[in-house]
Amino acid sequence: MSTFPGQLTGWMGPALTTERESVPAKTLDSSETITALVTEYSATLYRVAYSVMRNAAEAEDAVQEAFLRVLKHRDKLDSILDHRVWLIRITWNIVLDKKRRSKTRPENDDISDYARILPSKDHRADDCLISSQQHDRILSLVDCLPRKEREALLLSAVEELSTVQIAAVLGTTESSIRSRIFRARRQLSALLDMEGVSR
Amino acid sequence: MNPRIPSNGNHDRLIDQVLRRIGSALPPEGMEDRITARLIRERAGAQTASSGRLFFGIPHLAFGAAAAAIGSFAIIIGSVHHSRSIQPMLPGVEPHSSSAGIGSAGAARPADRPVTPSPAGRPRSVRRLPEGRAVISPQSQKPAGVAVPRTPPGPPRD
Repeated sequence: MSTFPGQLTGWMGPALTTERESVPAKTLDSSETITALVTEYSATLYRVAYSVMRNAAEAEDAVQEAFLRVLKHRDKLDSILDHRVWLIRITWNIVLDKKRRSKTRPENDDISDYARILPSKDHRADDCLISSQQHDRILSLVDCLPRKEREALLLSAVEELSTVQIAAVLGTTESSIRSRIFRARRQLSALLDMEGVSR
Repeated sequence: MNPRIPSNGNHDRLIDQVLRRIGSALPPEGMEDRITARLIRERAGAQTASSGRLFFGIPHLAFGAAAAAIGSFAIIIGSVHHSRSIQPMLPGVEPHSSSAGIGSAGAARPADRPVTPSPAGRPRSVRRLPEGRAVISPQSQKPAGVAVPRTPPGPPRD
């Protein structure tokens, strides 16, 4: 949660008042809406970004960039039906672009990130049995999957997202998402078999 | 792993564990505050940029272009005016007094008076070309005190 809520409310006010003096009420709405979006969805967007970037700093940077785009296109806020899907789609495009640009760079998985996500939820005891090497190996195999299957599988990892919302983000149908996830898991299992990873 | 997605296959438990880990990552401490601070900063930067964009109500780029155009026009007009004032006059040709300010070679007009002929009725020098070189006649009318050299005899040139 924010530690300075006083700053948040109406932070967009003065600038917008000079640009559109006739709609000060709408101005206040925009800043409050964006503040509410940050509060409500920043964690979800972080998880979406982290599933692709796998680096805390880069994932946070992607979330910040997503909200900067929201600020830039604040006029569209009123016409957006599903803010969650809209924000996730923005973040998704940003992280895919970042990932594409960083293809030439060496892998930057952060071991401290791995340590941070371990105690994040009330995982079952057997979750801890998987080693970091296995974790990294399976994620590298996920990266070897075809694009459509990989994207559906990674988005399905975010618990807050339903298949309907994943379909909306990727611009396809729910049944298509289900079959993509099924194919992804089957191909991943085959790859794990080829690698000789124990079950 | 999304609980709505049915899982099947041999390595499902392993895959589920990995997906659950990356899907349940916690954001770093204070991320919301940093996002909000950046939004405020960006907004302030945009405000500054938009306030500096106008100069007397005109965007900087348009103002600069207009000033450059006016300056260039003044330089061209001054240059043309200056060159017209020092233009050497040919005999018998008077400058055309044009009210438009900018004239051309075609604007030259013949003089009203007839051109005075040479006193000898011929040009001041004669060129003889049969020998292939120009020869200055000793009878050429030169101003007083100017020596006229004789043409040295030499073999004819092809």
